[in-house]
Amino acid sequence: MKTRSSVRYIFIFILFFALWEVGSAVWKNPILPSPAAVLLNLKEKFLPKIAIHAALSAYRIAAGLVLSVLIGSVLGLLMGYYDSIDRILSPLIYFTYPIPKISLLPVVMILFGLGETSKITMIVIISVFQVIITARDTVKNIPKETYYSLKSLGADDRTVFREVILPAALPELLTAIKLSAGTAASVLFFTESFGTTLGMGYLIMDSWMRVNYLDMYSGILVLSLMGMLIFLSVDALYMKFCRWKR
Amino acid sequence: MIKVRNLVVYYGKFKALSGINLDVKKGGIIALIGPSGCGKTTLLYVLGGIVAKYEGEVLIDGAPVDPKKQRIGLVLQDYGLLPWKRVWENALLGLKVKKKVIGKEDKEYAEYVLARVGLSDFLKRYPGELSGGQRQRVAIARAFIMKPDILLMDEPFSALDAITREEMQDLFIDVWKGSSVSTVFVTHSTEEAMFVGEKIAVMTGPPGRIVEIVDNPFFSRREIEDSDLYFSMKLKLKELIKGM
Repeated sequence: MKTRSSVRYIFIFILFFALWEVGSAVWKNPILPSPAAVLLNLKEKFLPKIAIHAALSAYRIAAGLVLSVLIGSVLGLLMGYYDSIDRILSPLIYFTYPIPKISLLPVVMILFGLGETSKITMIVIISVFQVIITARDTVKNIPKETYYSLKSLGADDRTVFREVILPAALPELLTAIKLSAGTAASVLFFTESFGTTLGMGYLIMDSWMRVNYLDMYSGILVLSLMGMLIFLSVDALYMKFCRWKR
Repeated sequence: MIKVRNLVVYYGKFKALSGINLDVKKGGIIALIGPSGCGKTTLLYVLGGIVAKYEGEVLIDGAPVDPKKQRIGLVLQDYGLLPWKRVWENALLGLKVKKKVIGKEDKEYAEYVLARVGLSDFLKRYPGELSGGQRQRVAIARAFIMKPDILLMDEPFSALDAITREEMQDLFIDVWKGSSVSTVFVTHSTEEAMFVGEKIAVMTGPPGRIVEIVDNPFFSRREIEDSDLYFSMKLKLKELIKGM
């Protein structure tokens, strides 16, 4: 199974690069270089130039994701289980969710400076909402009969959280992580275009400004691979902890 | 022993139960029968500590019902098992919640009960990988494994096909006889009530009340010798349920 799925991945990659190759050969415009040239450029420049950007971006995405999943699932699970908490927080969430939080970047930068904190904060305040709402609604959708056998056993809330709520919400939470990862990457891209000279967002924008399309595509490719790694690791967690779902 | 006196339950303004009186002697089993919506399940939930807002007296072995102190075995029609736990973990859930530490003796007893209900080969399965009958076997095993003070069955077999249902009734009565636990068995089928109840309490509603409690000579009998009596009793039960 494992080997077959990696064969499938390689096959689809080859197909993707072949289409790209055809596209660039037909278009003949430097704005779409051939994948071979990009891969060659990537091989040459990854370690000396790109790796440091990638590492920093990976750190920011990971920190942002971990924080939003922690904050979001705690809030969401509590809101889902306790109506009293939901009644207070829901209006707040509904009201603040639609705010284009990217426009808060100047405020966040004034509060937290130009460093890592403000970048990670941006990721968190944007992606935490998906996690909160997913967690809350998942808990609300657990049939109440599921709790009954535990209640008749005299289980306290801690036991209910451990035995019912967490395992029931986990599959949906993992999906929320995947969604947030996509959001986090695009937020990061934006925040890294300001006040920094390190990170994939900076690298890509800078290459673009300098009309260095080879570097730009190399950066995009690395960013895609980082995203894919996040998705694959979430899938691995799913396989491990959500076996009952399959 | 279960003792219920003048039990009244309101859901908001809706009166679900109105003046229920019920006794189940130690090690006895009573079948509770009535049309859907008459409050059978509510009564069971009060006994199980799930509905905690009520008026009147509900005593288990002389003490007010409290799931933290008493061991209450509950078998539901559905949803009783946690889908993310394997059969073995589900079966031990009652013990786990009750005493945290599960000793060797407990495990041996659990293995014995699970073997008794024919699940020994399925311990590593998830509920989603079992048939309806097998799932109810797990629920029953779980209830018996914790050696409950009282056992509450809420239409446990009504979602099963006829053949499996009879099998499960036989199995249940078989295991139950070896346990001597005071039991309330809710059902909407007269045949089932006449097989699993030493006594049969007939409920109508809403608001739910018990109209009659009858002794049942056909308890745990598959072979019916006096079929005239059997059918006249069944008819009487049906009439009582319809409120005639």
